[in-house]
Amino acid sequence: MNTYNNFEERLRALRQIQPDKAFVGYAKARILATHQERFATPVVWGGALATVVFVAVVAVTLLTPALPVVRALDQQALHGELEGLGLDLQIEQVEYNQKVHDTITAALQEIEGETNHLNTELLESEDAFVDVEGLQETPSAEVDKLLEKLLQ
Amino acid sequence: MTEETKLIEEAKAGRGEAFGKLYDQYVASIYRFVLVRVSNRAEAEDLTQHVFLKAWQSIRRYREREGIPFTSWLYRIARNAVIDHYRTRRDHEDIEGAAARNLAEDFPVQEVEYTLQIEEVHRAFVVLTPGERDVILLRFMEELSVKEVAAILEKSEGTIRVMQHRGLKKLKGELGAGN
Repeated sequence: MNTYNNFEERLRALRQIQPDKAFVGYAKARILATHQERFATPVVWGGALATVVFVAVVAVTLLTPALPVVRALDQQALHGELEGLGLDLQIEQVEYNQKVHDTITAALQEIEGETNHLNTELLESEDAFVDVEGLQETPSAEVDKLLEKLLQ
Repeated sequence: MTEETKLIEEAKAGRGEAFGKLYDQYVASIYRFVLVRVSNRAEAEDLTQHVFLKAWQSIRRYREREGIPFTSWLYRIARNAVIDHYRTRRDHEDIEGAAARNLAEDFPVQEVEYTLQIEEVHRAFVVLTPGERDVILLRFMEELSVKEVAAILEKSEGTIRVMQHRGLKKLKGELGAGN
C-alpha cells in the first residue's frame, strides 16, 4: 500500500467537508446587513475639484486689482518720494526768496539815498504790487525794517 | 463578460443579492481552507464570516484587470485572516499544536471521519514550512491551478512549483518512514 498516494487521496477527500447550513445562512444575513465601505464617486471627486478651482479663481480675481495699490502704499517708497519733493520745494523757495530779497534791497537802497527822481506816487502804486505778507516770511530782518520805514 | 464578473460588478454597486451568490459559491472552500489551519469549528466559522465580511466591505477595491482571480483574492483574505488569528493570539496553539487536539469533540458524529483526516494531515504537515503547507493544501485539497496559488501567496508560478516539489518530497520521506 502506497501511504503517500493515500495521503493525496485524503487531501482530496477533505473537499467533502461542508460548513454547517445554519452557519452559512446566519453568516450571510449578518454580512449583507452591514454597509460597504464608502468611496467617493467620480462625480463627488469632480465636484470637490470644481469647488476648489472656483474658490481659487475668485480669490485671485478679488486680490489682483488690489495689488498695485498695495505696492503704492509701500512705506519706504512713499517716504522717499516725500523727502525728494520737500527738498525740491525748499530749493525753489530759497531761490525765489533770494531774488525778491535782492530786488527789494536794491530798490530800498535807492530810496534811502533820498533820490529826487523817484516819484512818490509811483512808489506808492508799486507798493500795491508788493506782497508784504509774503515778504514778512523772508528770513531777512533787514528787509522787514526797511519796508516798515518805507510804508511809514 | 462572465457570469462571475457580472456578479462582482453588481456587488461593487452595492447589490447584496449578487454578493450573496458569490458567497454561496465560495463559502465552503474558504471554510475548509480555514478549518484545516485552525482545527476548531467555531473559530473556523468566525474566521470564515470575517473573510466574507471583509470581502463584502472592500469588494470595490478588487480589480479583476490586475490579473488576480476573485477566488485567489478571497483565499488571500482568508490566509491573512488566519495569520492575524495566530498573531493576535500568541498563546493559541499553531497548526502543529492543533494536530494533537481531539477535533472529534468539535464535530457532529457523522463528520468525525473528516476530523481524523484533518488530524492526519496536520501530523504529516509538521515537516513542511508554512508556505509549503499552503501550496500543498491549495493544490491538492482545493485543486487550484499553479497560477491561482501564485496569486494567493503573492509569489511567482516558478516559486510555487519549487515549493510544491519540495513539499511533496518531504511528505514522501515522512510518510514512507512511517510505514
